[in-house]
Amino acid sequence: MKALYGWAAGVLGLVLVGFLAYSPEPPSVEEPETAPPPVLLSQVQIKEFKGGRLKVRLNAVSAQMFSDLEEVELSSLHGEVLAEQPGQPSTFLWAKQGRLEGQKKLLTLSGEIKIELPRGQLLLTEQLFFDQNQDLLWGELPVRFEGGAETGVAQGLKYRFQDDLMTLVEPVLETVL
Amino acid sequence: MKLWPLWLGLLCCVPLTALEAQEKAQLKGQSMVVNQKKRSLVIERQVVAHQPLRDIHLKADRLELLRDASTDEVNYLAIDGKSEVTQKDQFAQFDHGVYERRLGLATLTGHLVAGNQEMKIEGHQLRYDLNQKTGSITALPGEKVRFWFNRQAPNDPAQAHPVEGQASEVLVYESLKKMVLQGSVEVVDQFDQSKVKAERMVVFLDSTNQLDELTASGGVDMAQPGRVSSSDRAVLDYGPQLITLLGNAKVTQTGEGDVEGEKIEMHMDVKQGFLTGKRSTPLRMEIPLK
Repeated sequence: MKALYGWAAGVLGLVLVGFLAYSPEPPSVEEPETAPPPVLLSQVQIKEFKGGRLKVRLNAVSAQMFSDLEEVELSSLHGEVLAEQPGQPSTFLWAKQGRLEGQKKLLTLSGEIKIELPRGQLLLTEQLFFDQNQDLLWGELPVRFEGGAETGVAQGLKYRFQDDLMTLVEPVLETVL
Repeated sequence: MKLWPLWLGLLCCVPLTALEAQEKAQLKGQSMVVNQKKRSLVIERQVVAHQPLRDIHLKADRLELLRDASTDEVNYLAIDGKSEVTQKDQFAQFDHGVYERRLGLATLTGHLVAGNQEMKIEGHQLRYDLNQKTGSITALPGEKVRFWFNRQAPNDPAQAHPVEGQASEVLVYESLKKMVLQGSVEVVDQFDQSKVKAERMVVFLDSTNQLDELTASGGVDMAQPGRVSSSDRAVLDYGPQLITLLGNAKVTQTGEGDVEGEKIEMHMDVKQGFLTGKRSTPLRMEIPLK
């Protein structure tokens, strides 16, 4: 009988040791992954190539590069969108700010935007998007157009670089007929 | 005379160098497409245009223009949809309008109605030479051009009565204040319900665009209340209210018998009867014995 009690006590002891040995650890609190700080740059030039040819050239007074997001925020920028055909006039742009999303190839311009189209017509607005994949410039804020045969305002625009085609929403203009 | 408010032509004829800010037109619509390569511009949906200097207004569904690449002048202008152009009291309604600078030609088609307070013409197509200031209005096959002119009432110059009718074609000579109506022309004067039929008629308008004179030729038949006439030619002068029949003239007037001759002059008012013919023109009257 003494032997039986001794065996049972030994088994309980092993279970206790095992329990203590395998008891779950308290859950650890994961530390937040800190984004790398943006890289600050000044006097930046960004070039975009398409088919081996220079397509877009952007210059900015300063830039913040978010490498994890593949985004660049640009300040006081001006740029040039080169024509498909060599020798053809470019489109020039100016804006207070710009945000270039690398993956989407989307450039968002904002603040005092001025676009000079290949034939000299000017577009003035506060926000524009330039989709480099589609070669499309568009905006949904009021835009003023001047410098060509027509002068006026519209409530939005689309401009396709490839065929030099501009669509304006609700235009009000002056022109010589 | 300014018979036709050809806004497209009036504006496009002005040399670009002579244009000032006031010469510009104001346009608006729901959308506009500018094709810089083609030098084209298209405005669509609820298109409204106004030329302040000339006080010309346009409404249309679509307006398209093409410019010369070097001069920026408008070479071609098209207007579509239910369109209306007005300039003061003048108006033109149509479905499709085209102006071509090279030809100096404006063409308005569709259901065309054009005119002013004193006259109106309805047809299918107007072709107008802006250099010559001449035009023609035609109808669809099997249809006729309809027209309305006002004329002074003989007893009250302040009153106007319509003279209306139809013809296969109407030719407009704006500088001459003249129109030629041709092809089975029929005219009804609503003042006294008198009717004139002829192959061709020439209409002259006065300074107020009211009917001044009407010359009919080619198998002229005239039916007035109490009088029937026929001749090779007839001149209806709305000023002195006289009718002159020329060539194989014949008049049958109720109670007055028949009158025949190479030239017969008579009052428009049947009750006032005949005037004498020229002395050199023998006049034959048959007076029925009562």
